[in-house]
Amino acid sequence: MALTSSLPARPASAAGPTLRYVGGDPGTLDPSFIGSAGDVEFLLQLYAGLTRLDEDGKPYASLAESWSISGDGRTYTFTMRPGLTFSDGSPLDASDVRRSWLRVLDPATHSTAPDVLSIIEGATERLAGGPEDGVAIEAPDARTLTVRLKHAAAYFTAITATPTAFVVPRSASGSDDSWQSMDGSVGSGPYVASGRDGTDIVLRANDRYLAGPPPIAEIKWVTDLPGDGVTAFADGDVDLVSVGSFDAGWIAYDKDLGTALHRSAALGIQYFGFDTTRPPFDDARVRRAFALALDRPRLVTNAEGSSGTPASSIVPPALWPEGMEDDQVTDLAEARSLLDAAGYTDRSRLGTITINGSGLGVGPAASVWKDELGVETAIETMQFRDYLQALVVDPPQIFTINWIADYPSPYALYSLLLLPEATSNYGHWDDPEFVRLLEAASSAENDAEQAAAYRAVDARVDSEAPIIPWAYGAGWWLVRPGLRGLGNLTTGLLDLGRVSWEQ
Amino acid sequence: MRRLMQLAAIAVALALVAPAQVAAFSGFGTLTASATYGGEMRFTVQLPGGPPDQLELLLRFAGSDSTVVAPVDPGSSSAEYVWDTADRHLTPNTAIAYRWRATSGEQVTLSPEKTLLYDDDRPGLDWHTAKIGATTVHWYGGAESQARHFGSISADAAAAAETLLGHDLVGPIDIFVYDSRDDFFGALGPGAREWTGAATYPELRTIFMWLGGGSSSYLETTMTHEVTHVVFQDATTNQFHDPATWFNEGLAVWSEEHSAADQEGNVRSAASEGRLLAFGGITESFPIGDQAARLAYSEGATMVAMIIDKYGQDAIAAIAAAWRGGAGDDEALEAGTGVPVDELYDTYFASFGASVPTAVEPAPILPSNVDKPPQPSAPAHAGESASAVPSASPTQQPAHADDNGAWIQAAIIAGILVGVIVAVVANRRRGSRSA
Repeated sequence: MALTSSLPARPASAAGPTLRYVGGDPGTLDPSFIGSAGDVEFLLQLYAGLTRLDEDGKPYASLAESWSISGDGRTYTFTMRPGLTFSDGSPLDASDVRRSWLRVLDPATHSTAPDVLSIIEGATERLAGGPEDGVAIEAPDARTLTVRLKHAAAYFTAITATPTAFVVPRSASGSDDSWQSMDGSVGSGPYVASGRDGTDIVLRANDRYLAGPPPIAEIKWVTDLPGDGVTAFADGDVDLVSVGSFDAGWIAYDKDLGTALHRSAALGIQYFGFDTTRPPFDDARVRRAFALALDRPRLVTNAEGSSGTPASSIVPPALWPEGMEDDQVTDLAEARSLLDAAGYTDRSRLGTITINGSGLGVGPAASVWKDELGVETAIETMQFRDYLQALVVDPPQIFTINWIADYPSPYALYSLLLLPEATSNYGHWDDPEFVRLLEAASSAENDAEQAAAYRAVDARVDSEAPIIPWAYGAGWWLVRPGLRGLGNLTTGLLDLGRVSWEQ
Repeated sequence: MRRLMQLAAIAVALALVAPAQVAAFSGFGTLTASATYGGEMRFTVQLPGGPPDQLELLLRFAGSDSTVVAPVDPGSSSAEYVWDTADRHLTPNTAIAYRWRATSGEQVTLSPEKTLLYDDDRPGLDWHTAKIGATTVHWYGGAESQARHFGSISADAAAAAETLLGHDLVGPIDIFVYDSRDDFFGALGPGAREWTGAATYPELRTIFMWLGGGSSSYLETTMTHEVTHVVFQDATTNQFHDPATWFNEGLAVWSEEHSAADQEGNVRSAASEGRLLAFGGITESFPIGDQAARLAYSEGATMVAMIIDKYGQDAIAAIAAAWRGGAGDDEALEAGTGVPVDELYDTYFASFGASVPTAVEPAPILPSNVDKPPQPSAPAHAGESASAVPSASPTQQPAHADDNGAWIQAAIIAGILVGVIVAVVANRRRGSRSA
């Protein structure tokens, strides 16, 4: 391995050389069936939505040319750009957006993340089997799309930039799957999947992309490496690769690789969730006791190392509203007192608490609950596929999972994980006061009011403890010198259509 | 009327028969398990009374505090679960405790627990064993004398490490001596480095070595090194923190000769070239490159040597005890040496004429110079419109390397469940030393 060699910028050419990105094998080419962060990254290159996120995470007009918002903040009227087409030249208009969204909301589709669109009036009912015409999405003409929301949501143009809300071609409504072929996908994003070169997926610039063909004409989406990503980068075999925090530690001191190492913001959350429908965790005092027992600043720092930082909220700091602070509290005496008050002075009445999940936090947390609260615990793990199934069908008493927000608002995580109707509310927490506070926060008319409202939401979650935030994740990347436009190396923002080689 | 009577009789008969057709779970019958190395593990259970509503196989691997739960189709009168070890590698000499869990309604029934040893039973490996002290050495072919020799060395090394770390082994150690490179790498599975000559799996209390992995003296010191890892694992095991990699490896290297004198030159050379690694950078993992990895070993060994020389051997035992009690690295080092960790690092690097290394500054990534399509003049708020105007020229200002906090305010991520990757981290952290 050529670790001693320097890392020159790639030579410039008219369009720049092929960019080789270690993205992994996507699980789907259909935005309705996103199942991993890798899917999100891949589909961002192939499809477009009404809006798109720039490298600062701010939505900008993409398929939409402009939009207006009604006085009550609930009705959005989008005007589509004229002359839009999919990558195969077929026309793309407002009806395609409507059709694509209704497809996601159709319960027969079994979309993996339909909750993203549940803020649309009638969407939740449709997902539950209600009528399609009850969903408040209209396309009165080819260039106009109107959407009526359940409540005001200033972040709606960020929702329209998420991959689940991307537009798929008309054939997606039929049985012809050729639009999602790796040998010639049909979308409206900056790139088109154009076959494989060995195990690499070849992406070629979409000449019909609404912003014009991207500067880098070809991307090799690397799905498999013979060794590790660091070695491949050092050897010049790839240009962009995420690396583990355990490698970032030493790379930071490596004279050659260190200059290429970049940290991305911590926007993921790993948390413990409770099955709130059954004893003992149907009692908020018990949940709160388990939360108060964990000294997260110490436990997380020791357990996670550089891969995570202690979490005090289900919303990562980068998305915190003004004035929100790290308010993590540890109080073992209060924790014991709460268990006593809940009728568990005799801890054996709690039985053996089963914790399912394989996060690093499980061992430390289980030890604290056992040693400090006198609770018997058992740790179980499953293969991830089985685990996801179990979360839906029969959630464990305590479970752990990681999530990243869908769009840049605290609402993204609160609604996705804790609203009663959310499919990812695995613990089935149902708290009317939380729902009321969250809707108030979403509808707040100015930043100060909204920040205060979200602080109230977070305080409600803290006091009721349906979940225990554990750690915010962090990401590390090796970036070939000479690449520009990679501003925020975060899942969901890696838009290679805005990346170029420095000339 | 008679016809109605006949129908009624048939209905009654069906009602009586029905329960027998939908047999109820009445407990577990015979449990069996078998394994073929590199092939599969197969677990079966008889369900004499019929299947439960839900059936799971519970697997507890040696060295793990958690139970792996595998949902299994209850079938009818028996059920089976197959673990494809060709696809999901499992290290040989892994002991597995298994039992079945049946759930019918609210009723949960556990089978008795049984064990299975997933051992290396590949054809041609006619294993023989000998017990030497706390070590059981395994060999095949004509390697008996060498195997016994390494067993003896490991027993001595374990005793020395126990003294140094102030903690006894909590169980026996198995050493598997391979005569052929292919056999050896076949045991280690995918991902093993091609220059590996020995590997330790402390959680399994097992060491694998290849007789062709180096000279006789090299293999002898390697055996001492690997055994030290097992004792270190026993002396520091806790639920809260993995001890610093550099200390674990440094102690193992020091133990080879009870000295780190051979390592000092490497550190001096790196110091003169400005290549030293901060200990914070080699806490979780070692560098991948050969030169940098060797430097990491050398720094770890010379730091351990300095601690022993300056603070005495008891400092090592005190550090281990602190880790065993759940301390973080800084706390453990201070508990053993009595000095703050920054002072310890300063002293160490000063002894090589250097200061504590600082991280390399990342090169800034320039912002995008790709035009967006024409954008509305201003974002629309409630009661407003946003109309398109040509976008402004892209900024040429370079992004500041450390300004994440500022521009991430509105950061978005496409929201998606992140697969649990921490297991990978944990595996890397547990990575064994390679000769």
